[in-house]
Amino acid sequence: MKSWNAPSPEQLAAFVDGELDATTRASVAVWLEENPEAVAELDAQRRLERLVHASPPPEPSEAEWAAMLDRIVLQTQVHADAPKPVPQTRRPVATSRRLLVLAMTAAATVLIALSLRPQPGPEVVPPQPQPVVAIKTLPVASDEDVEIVSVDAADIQFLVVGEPPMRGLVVLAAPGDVVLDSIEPDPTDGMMPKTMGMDMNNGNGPMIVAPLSVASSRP
Amino acid sequence: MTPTSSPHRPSAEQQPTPGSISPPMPAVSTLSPLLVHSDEELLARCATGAREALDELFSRYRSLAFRVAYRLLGSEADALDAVQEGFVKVLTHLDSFQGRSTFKTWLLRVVSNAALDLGRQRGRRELLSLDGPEANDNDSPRLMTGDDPALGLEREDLRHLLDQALATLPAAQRRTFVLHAEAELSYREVAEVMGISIGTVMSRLYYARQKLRSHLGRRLALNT
Repeated sequence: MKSWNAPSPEQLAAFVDGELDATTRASVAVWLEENPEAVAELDAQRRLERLVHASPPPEPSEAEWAAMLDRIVLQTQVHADAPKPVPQTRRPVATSRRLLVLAMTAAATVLIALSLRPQPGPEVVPPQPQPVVAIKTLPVASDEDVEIVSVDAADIQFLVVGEPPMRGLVVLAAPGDVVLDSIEPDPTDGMMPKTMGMDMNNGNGPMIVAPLSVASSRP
Repeated sequence: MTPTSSPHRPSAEQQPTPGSISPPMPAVSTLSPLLVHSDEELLARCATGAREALDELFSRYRSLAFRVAYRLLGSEADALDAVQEGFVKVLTHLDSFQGRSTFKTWLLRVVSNAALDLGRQRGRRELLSLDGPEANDNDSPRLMTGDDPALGLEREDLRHLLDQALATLPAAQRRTFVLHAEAELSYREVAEVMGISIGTVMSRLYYARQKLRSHLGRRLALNT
């Protein structure tokens, strides 16, 4: 009758490596006495270790080490001397600071002078139009730009053929280009779409959300 | 059953471990020869730009780092590049060394990462497939003894065989095996370097050894 369950191969390897605690190591040793056929496996592991040590990597020469050390020192000095990720050098920063101080001083002087003048009364300033968000265009490849070399059989059902749906660049509408006259309920389910983001001046285009009911949803 | 957590294994080349007495260094070090400087002391001095501390650290770990990189890459030139990159990275990120690991394991983590990155970039397997002796070559000579004049050639032959066998391993298994067998790190240290559990280290080591034995075949059986 065996005194201990068979150790796993990983545990046997750890036994050879001297990585087991004393209790487990003693148990494996007893097991090995009862199962001498497993010793061959351990010997093979030891032979592999011996082969590794019998074929050491070539050792670089002192000249190679010295040259490497010089390069390391050079590179670490380069890193140490590298400028911090500030976009400008020290002198322009100082110059720009002086300019900033001068500009702020001038602005403060003007504001003080204006505040000392008699006020003619509240002046209604018409709201200035906000700059229109830059219109983006999406380039679209034409049918002449694309050459289909091959198509996998599994993808044939997804290949769209025929006239391209559009030609030329796609011009996106800016918020100012959209005028929402009225909103009507969906004739199929009677639900009223909700509008979101109607602040045109802030560049937010209208987003119309139409809630779908399960009964009215279509594939 | 749990593996023990021995912090360091004895090295075949008696690589000095942190805090141990180092053999006299070459003349590159100007530190006092009578004082033993720990890695932490040297790192602190490196941070202040002390060149002699850098020289000492470099001399202490260059061979170990090179052996690991070489086993991972199978190329001396690439291994030198990996070692250099590893030292540069470590020395330029000294502030990130928290001391939770030893400098040795930190350096080996960086160097082995650099080596694997280089290997991926340069196609290690293609390099090793060129003109090397086959592992199962029945006519290849067996391992000679130390008295044999052909020992140098035999070692080179064996090394090439081992390089080829290592190249067949997945990167994770190769790195685990090299850190344990070549750098002689304990299971716990390998786990620390690779950020994996000790159980994973044991498993990877087992499968790596099985594949190496299979690849080395008869040659390994002769190496008694």
